[in-house]
Amino acid sequence: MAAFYEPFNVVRAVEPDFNALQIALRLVEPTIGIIHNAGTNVYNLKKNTSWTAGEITNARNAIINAPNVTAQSVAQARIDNFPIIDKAIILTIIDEINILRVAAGLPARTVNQAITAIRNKAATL
Amino acid sequence: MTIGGGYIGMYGSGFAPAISGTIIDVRVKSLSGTWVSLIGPTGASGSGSGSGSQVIIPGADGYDGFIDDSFYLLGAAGIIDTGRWIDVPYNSANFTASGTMVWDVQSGDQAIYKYFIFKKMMFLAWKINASSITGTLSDQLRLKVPNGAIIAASTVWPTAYFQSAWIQGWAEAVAGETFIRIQREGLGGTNFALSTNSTYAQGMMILETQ
Repeated sequence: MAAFYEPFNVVRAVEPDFNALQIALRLVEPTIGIIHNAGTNVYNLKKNTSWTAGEITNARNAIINAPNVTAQSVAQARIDNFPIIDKAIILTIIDEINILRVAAGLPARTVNQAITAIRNKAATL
Repeated sequence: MTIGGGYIGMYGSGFAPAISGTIIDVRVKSLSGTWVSLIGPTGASGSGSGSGSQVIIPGADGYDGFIDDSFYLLGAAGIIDTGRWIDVPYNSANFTASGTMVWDVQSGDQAIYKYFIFKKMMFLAWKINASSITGTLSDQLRLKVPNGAIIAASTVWPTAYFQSAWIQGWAEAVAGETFIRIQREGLGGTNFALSTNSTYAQGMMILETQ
């Protein structure tokens, strides 16, 4: 697979949230990957096709504007990628809650509602 | 490495037992490129000013010694550079996967892939960025053990990988194999996901080699 690398030098006060930055860069071009050492200003970006001027500009802006990494943002990325054991626990709890909710005449909670609630809770911690 | 004060870290009798047997000479290389044997004709004295098992590397003032980053042991298998990290030149064949999965690592993705050896002990470090996974998914990325080494003892170390989130994974060394198995959480059984320039793996482990 061909690889085209483009170096960027961007000064940030705080490291970007890696996952958020990757998502933002993938909106610029869907094959962009990040090569970056924390504590440095260098972001060497990789993609499968040669870089256009517009992509370079947009990628630079994505690096500049990416949200800072926080404990909450890292936790939310983990929530979005729960391993099987965590999924099993949460889905079982949802099933049990829904038994009670339906018995009480309340609508069942969906999995997406539960995951959103967990992500939102993480943001408050 | 710079050593001042006139002594290298094998002062006294502590180092002597460790170099008996397979090691037949111990040398350091000075900044000027001069090789200095630390084992004199008697097998005990340094080639510099020293006595017994105390070794003094002579410097410009006759007392301080300065050597470079390398520390070489001349063993039965030849000279082993054992005093510094050795970068592994990029070779796509060093990156494989179990089954028919393909771990596609380009030269620019290899930020760290280096080792440090001392006799049968190898420190291995890697930081692979923005790599891709194709083919039929499986649960192991495989990184070749450098220097042609073969793993002597099975062990497991925690590592980190990124596929949409940084997660703790595991690196497993299996005796007799020539690669380490990089695995997701749960130490096997969980397949990696297809990815394009978005799989990251980094870690370090100590291996016992044959």
